[in-house]
Amino acid sequence: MALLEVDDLTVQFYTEDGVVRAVDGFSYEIERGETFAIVGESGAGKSVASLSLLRLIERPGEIVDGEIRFRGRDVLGFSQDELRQFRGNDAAIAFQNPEAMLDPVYTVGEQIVETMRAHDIATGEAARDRAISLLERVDIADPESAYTDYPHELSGGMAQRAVIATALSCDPDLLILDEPTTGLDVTIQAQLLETLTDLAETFDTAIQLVTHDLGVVADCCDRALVMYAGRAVERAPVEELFYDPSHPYTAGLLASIPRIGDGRDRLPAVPGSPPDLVQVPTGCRFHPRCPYAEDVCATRDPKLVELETGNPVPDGRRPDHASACHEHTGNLEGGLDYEVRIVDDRGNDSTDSSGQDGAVSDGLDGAESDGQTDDETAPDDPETGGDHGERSR
Amino acid sequence: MRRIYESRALERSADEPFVPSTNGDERSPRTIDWDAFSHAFVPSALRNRAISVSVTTDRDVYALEEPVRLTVEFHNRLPFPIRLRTDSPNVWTWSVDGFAAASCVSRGVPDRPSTFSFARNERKRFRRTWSQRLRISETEWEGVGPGHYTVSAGVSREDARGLTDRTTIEIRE
Repeated sequence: MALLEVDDLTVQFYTEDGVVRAVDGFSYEIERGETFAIVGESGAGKSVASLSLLRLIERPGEIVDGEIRFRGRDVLGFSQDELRQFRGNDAAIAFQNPEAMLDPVYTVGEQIVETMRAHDIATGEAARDRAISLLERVDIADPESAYTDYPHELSGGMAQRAVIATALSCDPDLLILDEPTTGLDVTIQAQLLETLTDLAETFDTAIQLVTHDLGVVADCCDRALVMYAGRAVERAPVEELFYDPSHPYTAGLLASIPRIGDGRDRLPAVPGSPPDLVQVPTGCRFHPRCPYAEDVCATRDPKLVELETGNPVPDGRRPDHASACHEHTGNLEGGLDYEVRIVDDRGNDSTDSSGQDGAVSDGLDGAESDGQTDDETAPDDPETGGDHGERSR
Repeated sequence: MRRIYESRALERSADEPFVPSTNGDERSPRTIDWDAFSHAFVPSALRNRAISVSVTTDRDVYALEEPVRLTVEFHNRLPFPIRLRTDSPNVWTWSVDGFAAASCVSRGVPDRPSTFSFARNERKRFRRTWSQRLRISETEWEGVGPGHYTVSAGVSREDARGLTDRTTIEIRE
């Protein structure tokens, strides 16, 4: 039994313009101690899916279908008392904007202690000592001074760390981090990611990382799920996702990562924009933006299928690599015509026909050991290929 | 240290002790809720007649597989606010030949009443695009053939007389 199991989660919001189905039949699971990423563009439904786990969706939104099980217990069936215990003790969340999450009229230390006090973890001097040790644990310099600082006295990176320290204060088994590195400069990002990886190992805490930054995913995650217009389009271990993307949207996201030393004038991007969730496209939701779309993509919605078998992912089973594209159900005649090029720092270049056989070329092993790899996804489509041109890490 | 919740400065809802109450936060108690005021004093028949509904398409004749862009407009003709009761939180719907949102598959919207509010003389305009396909199952859509199709829209109410409109388009090969 996985630590967290989400089955067929559906969340919608009622607006005057119509019903916004922000999360539509979303399923995944997280094992204890695992770092799991949910990746996608803004508006894909990543944050809504995360808030749903703690039942933090407010009107006019609601969870209309699905199950969320934490250690086998039905989270959606929790009473208010059980929910209060669950939030903080079992699962904690650090939101995107730390300055908004911290109360400006209390010191950082007081806010951490308050969380511990509310959950009967510690009180008095013990709580103070624990708060200082948590601040130290998340690499805040001079934690005793930070304990008495007000939020406005902290930098963005320090505030984010303080929020993570608050979330960790009750020793949760699952930590949900919603875009923890947004707005931080790359040096601080790297430090924060290192801290998170270290924390996950030390406390055996599972982390659900919500991000649109694939670099962050590559750095510290075990598995990732790519989300598009409220649906999961690909799930895979991180290495497979990077070296063998099986969905054209994933390939497009990877291609659009900027790379230092790239001589091109324009940054490659996935063409078009995400659909309005009030009225999503018929068939595959990605088909209006997909360079490989065929007639079938506009009339049939592809299910998430296991790459090895081409069969739909059964309930309660964790697939190694699954993708929701007609290519993997045998319905796409032209195939996915992009290729993954892996170039290591010694200039060795190897090519893999992505999405076809799932094999990763021989050059990968050497490149992995170096930890410095450039790999590229280059579609052959002459019209849209430029936009889906390359990926790099 | 005196804590903010000990000061009684923040009222909390009794049902949801950890959710700050929104009662009184949204508008000052001194402000009149004109929506509620009008709803209490305007007769139901007048409320229904106050709102006009119109559906228009960008053209009358379309080629096969050409997207049909439709605009639905609701207009409060009265100089005071109007609030309409609806049967569902999806306060208005559109349909093609009677198929809601061009689909034979019902969308899971709870069956509970809601309201659709208009400020005085307010116009609300919504746009939809019909791809000339009908959803026939959870995962499949089917293109429609040439012919005449009725596109309609209206407030989500069983007794929506006067609160609906329709137009006909032609699809040619």
